[in-house]
Amino acid sequence: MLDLAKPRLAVEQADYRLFDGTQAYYVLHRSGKPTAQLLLAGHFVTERPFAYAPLVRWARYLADRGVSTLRFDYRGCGESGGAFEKFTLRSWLEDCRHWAAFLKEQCPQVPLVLSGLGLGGLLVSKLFQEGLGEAMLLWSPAATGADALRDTLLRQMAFDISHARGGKPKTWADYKAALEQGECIQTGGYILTPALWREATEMRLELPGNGRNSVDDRGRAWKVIKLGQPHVPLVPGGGIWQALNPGLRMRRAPLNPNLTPFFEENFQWLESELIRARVSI
Amino acid sequence: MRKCIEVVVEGLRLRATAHLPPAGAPTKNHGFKGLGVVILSPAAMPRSAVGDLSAAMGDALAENGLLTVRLDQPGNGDSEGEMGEDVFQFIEITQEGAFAESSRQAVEKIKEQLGLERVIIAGFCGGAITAFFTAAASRNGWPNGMFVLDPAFHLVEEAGGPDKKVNRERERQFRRQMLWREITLLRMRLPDPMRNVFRQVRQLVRRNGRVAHGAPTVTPGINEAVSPELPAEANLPLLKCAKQLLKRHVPILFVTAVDDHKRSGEYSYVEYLLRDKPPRATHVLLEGTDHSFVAGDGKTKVIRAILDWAAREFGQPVG
Repeated sequence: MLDLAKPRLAVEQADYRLFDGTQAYYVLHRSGKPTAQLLLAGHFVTERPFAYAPLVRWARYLADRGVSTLRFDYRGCGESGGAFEKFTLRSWLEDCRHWAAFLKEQCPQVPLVLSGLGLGGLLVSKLFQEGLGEAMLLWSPAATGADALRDTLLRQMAFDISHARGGKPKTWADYKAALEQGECIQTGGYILTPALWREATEMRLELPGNGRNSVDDRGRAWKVIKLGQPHVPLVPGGGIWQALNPGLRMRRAPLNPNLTPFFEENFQWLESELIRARVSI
Repeated sequence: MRKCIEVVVEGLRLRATAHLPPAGAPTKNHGFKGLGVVILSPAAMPRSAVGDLSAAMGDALAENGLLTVRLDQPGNGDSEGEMGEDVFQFIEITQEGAFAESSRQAVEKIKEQLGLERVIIAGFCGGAITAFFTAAASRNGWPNGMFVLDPAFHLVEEAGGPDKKVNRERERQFRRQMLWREITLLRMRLPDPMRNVFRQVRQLVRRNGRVAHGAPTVTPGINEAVSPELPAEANLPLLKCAKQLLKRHVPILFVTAVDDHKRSGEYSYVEYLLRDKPPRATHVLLEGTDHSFVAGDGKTKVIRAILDWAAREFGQPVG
């Protein structure tokens, strides 16, 4: 396993930028002479803690190989300021746009790769559709915004079952109906609002062309990778509810698995596609 | 306002977030002057913690005039450092106090960087374990207080050591644990008398397992403070640290959640520690949430408990 405990060549800069009056957190893994810049949009907030360590190591891996990488927290989430319930998917799409522009400003002549995981994959795919970025790499993007929120509600259901005292615990249909009728749901430390739910159900993943990994009609390369058992804890839905779902049950509980072969595979794709793009330019 | 800070400890950059009290926050002529809180990240979690509980705590404490810093321990979150592959390795080194020395050095540097005169050390779950080891190792008069959220005072038997490779026995143990977890989830649906039967079966299986592996059921004599009545899996060095700090009259707030484990009658280490009624110890037991403190309205309740405790213990005017 590669030593990704600290950067070898890159410099890591963690800081805040004020965005619409809210302190937005980012970590820029800055490469000395970048050949590409990659925006890394993460999971919906409830999955964030589980996937954090592998994503930090992926960013370090890239930055040491000439790909400056920017990680960030959506407003209202993690290290970013603001109350979670004031934001929706549209706000977080604007966050992605903001950070893409910020990253492009760092080295305007260097190609920008949009990349995302889970909800982040869904969000950056919208930006790619608008024409932003020179390439796109998605890891198990959420098919809809509602899919990204589903795990949070399932965890709440697990809590309801374990704390039911006489009363019947709420079902998935109860929660869905409550959100559709304009009620807020407090779960996992966050307040899910009807506005967030509405936007989440409306936002759907649309991939270029016929949906097969290739290039889009502007000649930009894109790829979707479906994560599986070897990639836990990057896989959405890690946590207690997996025990309730035999289809997603973990055989082991790796904290920081050796993902070096996976990182290498992704990096090779990036390298080859960006070389190809430069040749065609 | 939040601010990113970093300290270099043992050649590693450790990253933290400082929550600075806003101008006009009640620090002047108030007991919070020169006082700061350092919250250590929970084991294997970034410093905001599950449900951003620690981040919310930092905001709330700063709003009330208490400068608060949340620190990513080595290998965690944005800090540099190794992190083992296996969750059990991580649990084991945490429960042995592996992060205490780096945390102690980090707290010293944070104190200097932010000009703190007094420090409250805090943590949740694994962070609480490290908080006790760190506080006991301090040589410069701190901590001036502690708040700990559901510290695990028992050793996780399934955890292997950092040098032990995963072997078939470990795999078997893990599968057994997964099986227990699923049985536990089923058990939760049952009425209390039925749940007690499960608890007794589990205890019997554990005891037989220990005897079969030649492990003692009680580890005697590590220090005079430890009672022979403690369960075999008690983390004795950790309990010793907690006892020492209570004996030094460090104000300590224990916050625990009433969850199904406790309802089913598992041993209460906090009750054991507080049996002699140490003068500056407080225990708040929260209903309607679980070990994460973000289920139900746990987040609001835990923040309220910490704010009330801080005001009571430190909120008097200085001098």
